Amino acid sequence: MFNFIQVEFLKLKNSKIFLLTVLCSLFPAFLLYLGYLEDPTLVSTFEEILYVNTQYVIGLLAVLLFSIVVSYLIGREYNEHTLKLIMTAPTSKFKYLLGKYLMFLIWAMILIFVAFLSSIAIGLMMGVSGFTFDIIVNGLWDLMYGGFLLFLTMSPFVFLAMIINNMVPAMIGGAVLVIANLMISSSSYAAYFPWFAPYMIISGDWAVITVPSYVSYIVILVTFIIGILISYLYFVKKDVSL
Amino acid sequence: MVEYVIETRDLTKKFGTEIAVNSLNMHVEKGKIYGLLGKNGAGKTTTMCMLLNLARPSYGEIFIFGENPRSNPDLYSKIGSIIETPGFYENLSAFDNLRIVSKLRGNYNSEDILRALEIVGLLDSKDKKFKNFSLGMKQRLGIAAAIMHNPEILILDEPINGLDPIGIIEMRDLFKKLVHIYGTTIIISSHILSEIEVIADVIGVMNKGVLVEELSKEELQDKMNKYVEFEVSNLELACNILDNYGLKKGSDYVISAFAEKYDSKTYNSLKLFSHLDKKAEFNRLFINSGIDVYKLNLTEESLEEYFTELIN
Repeated sequence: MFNFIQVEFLKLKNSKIFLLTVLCSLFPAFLLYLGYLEDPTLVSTFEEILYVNTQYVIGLLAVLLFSIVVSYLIGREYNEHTLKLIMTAPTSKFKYLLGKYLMFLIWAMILIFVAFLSSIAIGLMMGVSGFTFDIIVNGLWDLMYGGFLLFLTMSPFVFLAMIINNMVPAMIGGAVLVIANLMISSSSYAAYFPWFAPYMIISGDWAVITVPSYVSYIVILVTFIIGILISYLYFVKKDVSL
Repeated sequence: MVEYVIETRDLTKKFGTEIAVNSLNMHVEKGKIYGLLGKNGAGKTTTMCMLLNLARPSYGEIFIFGENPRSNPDLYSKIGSIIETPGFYENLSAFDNLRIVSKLRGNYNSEDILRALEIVGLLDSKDKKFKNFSLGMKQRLGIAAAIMHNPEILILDEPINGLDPIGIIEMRDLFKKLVHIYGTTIIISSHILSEIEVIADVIGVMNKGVLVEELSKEELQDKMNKYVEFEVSNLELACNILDNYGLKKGSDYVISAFAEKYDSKTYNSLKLFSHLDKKAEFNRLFINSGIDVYKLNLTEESLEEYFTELIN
């Protein structure tokens, strides 16, 4: 599996998509800074910065970014006709899917971490107060944990990328989910929506709408299992595309 | 006893109601080049995909080195392959693409990669990105990836597509060398008959998903019709001579279809399919009977003619 992940990183050599997604993950911090320039009283502590950043990242941007990443990771093997190269190496279909999920997780966590670092950098630039070890560690944990939960909800996109190999449907799908998140964020159904549930869990907002947090966990887990099952069964049953 | 490296039993592949490969019983001997011949859509690629586990058979069994690969998937690591056009990562160099393949195989060695690139004549282009490769270069890289790990079996689907004439000769020599020096077994498919005729030890002819013929090159030579063509001044008299000799018109010899239909003076050739060793004697008999012999030609049916006859 180590070799597989190493190969996945090698595939990104000379590819602009990785850099592009990293740049996109800087966007929430950039938005925060623009807001600060407009209104310097918008945020005054690191805690507030991390809270707003988490909202932007987990609730909005990561949904779109993750859908693009997963679509690229899976879809390019079809578009560049390289799936047969991997399969005849030989690589088992189980190992292939597991490797792809792992690479997706690593890539997702890198993006989340970059988003976190950029928010810290912006906070320092803005000169806000409350830079303590506990706040930083808690902020990092929330963001990484939220990112992980969101990663789990993206498994249906793996299936989608197998059926439709180009990135446009994934981008549209991701954008639709972002809009749905925006619309649903203040409603009582927010905790039931798989792609907003991670934010509900880490922000603690589930308590506000009086839905137990385990409901969100169940929604996320069910989405993950359904995505894993359909993508695996489809991939195993289908002949390898030439 | 003949050792079969690959054997299939009733191998069948259906796509919905369409049967792409129908009860294929294929026997590939160790250290031989097996040429799989067939028109486009005959089922060659589908067969190869099933052998490589890229497609699931609808029915039937595959044995590689006498074992069912489903129970021993490690057998696939002994195979190198090219299926249709080689797929590589556009943003990577030739070297990096081969590095990916060897890493996936778990036997990464830069020396092996450089050696494979040298064999296929791509060493100077090792740092060139795949997207800038010509079709021939892509094909060469595919061959490099297939042979890099010294496989015991090579499955090559139309490997000479896109190669220039020199490249074709080089690759043909390479395949022969792999067989003779390393004992590699090769299954090679092509719709270019002359290529298969030159390279293959055993030929399997596929048509509409069915393996209609599987025979060695020697058997093929025996099966391909040989005949002596005479062009004479008096076709009627020549036929009488052959009839008197005991030959039967229609089976032992035939006259030109045009001669029968139009004018036996203008279209005056006959083809002799039996007693070929008596051609000099027949020639003498014709001349002694006052017939001028304009042409006496020993002709052998080409693989192309044989193939056309077989699938029609």
